[in-house]
Amino acid sequence: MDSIGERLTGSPNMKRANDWTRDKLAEMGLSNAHLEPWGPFGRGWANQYVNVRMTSPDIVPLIVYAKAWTPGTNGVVTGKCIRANIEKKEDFDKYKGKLAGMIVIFGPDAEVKPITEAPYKRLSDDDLAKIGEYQIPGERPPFRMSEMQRRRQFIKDLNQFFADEKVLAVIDHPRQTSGGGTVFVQSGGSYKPGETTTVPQLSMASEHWSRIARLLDQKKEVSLELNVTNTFYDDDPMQYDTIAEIPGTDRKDEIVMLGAHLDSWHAGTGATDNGAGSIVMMEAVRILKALDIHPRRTIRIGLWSGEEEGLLGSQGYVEQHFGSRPHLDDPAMKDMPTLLRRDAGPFTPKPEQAKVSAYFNVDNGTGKIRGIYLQENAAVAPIFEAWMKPFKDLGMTTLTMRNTSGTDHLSFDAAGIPGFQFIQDPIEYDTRTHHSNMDLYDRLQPEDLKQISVIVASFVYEAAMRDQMLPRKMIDNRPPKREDQ
Amino acid sequence: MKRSLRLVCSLVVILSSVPVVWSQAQEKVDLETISRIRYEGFTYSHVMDSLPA
Repeated sequence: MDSIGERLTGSPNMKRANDWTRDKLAEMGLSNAHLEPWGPFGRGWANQYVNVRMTSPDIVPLIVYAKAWTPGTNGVVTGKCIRANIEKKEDFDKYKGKLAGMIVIFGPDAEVKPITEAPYKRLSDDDLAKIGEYQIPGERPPFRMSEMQRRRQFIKDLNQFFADEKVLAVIDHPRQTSGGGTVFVQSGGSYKPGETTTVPQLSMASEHWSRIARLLDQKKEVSLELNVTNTFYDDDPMQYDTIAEIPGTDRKDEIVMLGAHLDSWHAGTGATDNGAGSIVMMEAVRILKALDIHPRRTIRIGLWSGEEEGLLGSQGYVEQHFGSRPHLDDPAMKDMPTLLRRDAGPFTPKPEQAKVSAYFNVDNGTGKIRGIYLQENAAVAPIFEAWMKPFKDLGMTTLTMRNTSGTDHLSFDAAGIPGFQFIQDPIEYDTRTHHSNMDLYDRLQPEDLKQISVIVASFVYEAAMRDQMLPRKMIDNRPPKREDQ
Repeated sequence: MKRSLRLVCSLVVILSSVPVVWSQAQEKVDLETISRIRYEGFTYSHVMDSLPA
């Protein structure tokens, strides 16, 4: 993590991380350690240099990061700043003809508030009791597919508007209130060939952004000097997942999988998101190998890429091995993962789908395991209850029927394979590290990571040794209810 | 009277323990291996070894 660094999907570092994890798993004694391609993904990208300073009315360096898949400045450039807050397409007219050659200080006022609560949190008994309560479907917010489509289109239109207006650069602020030099940075443009934005985009620490915005609000002239070097990589449109196995014995054709996404965003080193998940999965299989376990079923580890761009690596693996749904006709929605393609038609399984007992995922940071989400699979509750019992003294006490979302277990769940994500203590995940420049080694909690590794190794072991595979849910082939139905 | 009360109490104890025994019988847990996993994972952990890479 310290040496390889950030692991943005498509970046040279991602490939180095793939190679390193493959070699490390082979060194641990796992079999069939290899990389499996998925894709085509699109363009690779990495930031090599960023330096931004105010040159007028004061001279001061500024904390700023390049947004992924945006171009650099081609050397040092200087420009005057202008504020713009564009929330919808109708706002374009307000700024038309005013932005050429300018640095756009973009977005609403930054809300920097004092930190009144500890940014560090462990789940209390009350928190766990709430997670244990199932939310019946009527209480959930409806899935807003059309809203998602509208948002995607607006971002495309906005980037085109900035390009047409010949804007020099766009600088926004993270829309979190934490401040203090923590900058949450994701992408500013598309990784798809032919859709690359032509305007450099950056995210700035909220306090620095606010200083510029206040000066502009007072009608003072503000100039910045920018030097940003970013590189796009087009040599290999495919991306890779790292796969390795501990072979099974009498039920070797059946599989128990464990996995985590290895990719990250680019401003930190992705230590908690999701270096933590990747290293605990590697440690879990190392423990099983060290004990010379001979599992009945084959144990297979998958370290995914493309998770941050929409579960793409696990989705690619599931489609190649276990089955998929047809793609949606709408070109803008063509890359939607299987779990969002229920509209397109029924799921068609491949033979290997019937052989996978379970998939266990970790992707909620460095905090220890406090329970497990059952993904509405009631039949696994008594099984997990029994497996969880030996870990009560380590704080794992909660089973919930809830269906948790947002990460790679969903790719398996959508394919009818029992896929599970653990409940973890948040520690500083939402307040400091998740997608931020401060997602670094120092934020990891070694004792928590040991606890996670031991529990995952035990769950995987029990699943691999059990007489039967884990019970499954039915695959729902009806189109989902939409907000407009 | 005392004897029948004892019998009823015994029956209650036996019956109330049946579901527990049944569910335990349904799902075996290999506690010996779990102990070994815990020992290896807590005593000889390599979980932080990967991070300098």
